Amino acid sequence: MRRQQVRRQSVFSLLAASLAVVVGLALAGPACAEGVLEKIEKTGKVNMGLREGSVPFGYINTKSEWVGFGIDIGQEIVDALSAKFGKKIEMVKHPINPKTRIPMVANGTVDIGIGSTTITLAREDVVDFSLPYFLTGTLLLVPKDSPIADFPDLAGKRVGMGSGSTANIKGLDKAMETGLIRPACEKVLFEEHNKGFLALQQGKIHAYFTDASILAGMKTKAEKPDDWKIVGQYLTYEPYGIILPEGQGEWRDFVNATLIRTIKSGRFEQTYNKWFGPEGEVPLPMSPEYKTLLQALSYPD
Amino acid sequence: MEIFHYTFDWSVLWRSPYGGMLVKGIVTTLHLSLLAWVVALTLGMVVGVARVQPLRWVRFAGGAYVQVFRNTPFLVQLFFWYFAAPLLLPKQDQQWLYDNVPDYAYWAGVLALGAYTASRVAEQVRAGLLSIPPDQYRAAYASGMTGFQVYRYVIAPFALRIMLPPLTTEFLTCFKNSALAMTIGVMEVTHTAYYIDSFTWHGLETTSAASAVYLCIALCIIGLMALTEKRVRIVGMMGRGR
Repeated sequence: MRRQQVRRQSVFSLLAASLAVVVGLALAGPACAEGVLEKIEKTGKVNMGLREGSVPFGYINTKSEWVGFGIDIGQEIVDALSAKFGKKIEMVKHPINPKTRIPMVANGTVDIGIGSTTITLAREDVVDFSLPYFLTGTLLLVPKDSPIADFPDLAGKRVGMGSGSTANIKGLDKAMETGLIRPACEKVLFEEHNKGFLALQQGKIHAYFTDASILAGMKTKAEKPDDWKIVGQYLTYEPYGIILPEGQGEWRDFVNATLIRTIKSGRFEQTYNKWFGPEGEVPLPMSPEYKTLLQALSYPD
Repeated sequence: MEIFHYTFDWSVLWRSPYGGMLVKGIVTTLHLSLLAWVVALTLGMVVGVARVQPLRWVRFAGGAYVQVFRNTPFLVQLFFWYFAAPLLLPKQDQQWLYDNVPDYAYWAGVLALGAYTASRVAEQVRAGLLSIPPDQYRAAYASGMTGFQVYRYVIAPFALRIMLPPLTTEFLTCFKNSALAMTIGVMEVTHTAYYIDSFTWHGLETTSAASAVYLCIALCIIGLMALTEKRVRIVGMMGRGR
């Protein structure tokens, strides 16, 4: 008798739990019908998702200020918004990370996400992207006395990478399938790049694999940057875009136009040099491909 | 099925290559937690018994172990075993360890979960032993038994039965805590769910599946323990004697 009661009770609690989940889901997805631009004009605010742990795209500096390349690009957009509406538009900063950046734009928490996000077709299903304004490629970070000089040397080695960096992972899988890396290397996945770098410093992995721009940031942050080197030929190209909500054509046009004007005025290159130039936080010379991309983006008025 | 902007696609749970990943994740969760539970049970028994010994330093050692491992966050302990513990070894031994134990993260996870759960098991063991009235000990010693015999034939048969229900809870907690091993890169079922999500954008399905896996495992453990309790029951020893 009593056992039966217990069983019925557990079935009920199961039902209640699943009901709670479904109701939670239904409440969690607010549909926003109004245009982002109208909303910004009305409220005088733009919600920007920015990285806070990715040097130099967005990070907290030693003076505990939230700065970075992405924040400067965001400021360009805010300035353009202020000019368009003839009043001061306020930038409301929200922290995003590789796990939250797509959902936060998709569900409307932020109007725009600026970080180091590769444009992929899979991501295009869920959000929109601006024009590619940053071009990098995947390379390897290794200790300075490492025998690894390029991707084929990874054969049989342990290679670290971010578990959210799907574009990178697919690229490496393909390199193993096509026989560029043979025998295959062992993939070691890390939730965050900095944990991967710690493992690399301890010798748990032989190399860390991700975008050159991120590797350059990791190297700069190391205790002794000269103990590390970035090696290889780009395995994949990684074009970065600004994350924008789906179906907001006007807003996307506005962001693209601002990017193009910034590039044409030369301010984009200034900003690039501020962060990636020889005197910048993370020295990373602009590749010829990237220069060509910027020229191609200099659309006429 | 569509709820607002989200279209459910449950096929990510069995579609290649994700189905295989998920199965691998479940298997990893299972043997990681089971191994950790074996460590926890063995170590916990030893520490728990140590805490009721007449020798003061043995009691102190047991108590110190419990306080340290029970009162620091499990997450911090995981990081300790994965990142910090190997640094205590000489440099060449560290390299030997990483080269010869390729899934070091997995073993760090087993050790961390085992050591942490052991501190909780130890408390249950101690409580079980202390719940036996002192008269039982005295009576056993008075009938000429040695210390070992007292525990083996008089104390343990009762104490172990008393410990069973709280140990079930610890067993369940051990399984659920294994999800934290994802923070050091172990590809157990929760991490696999996140991983598939980052490729497919169908995290709701994968995390639901992972939750269902934990629920199923937990219900199996509960059933198993209930069966054990029933099998070893001594009529009239405890409670209302169902």
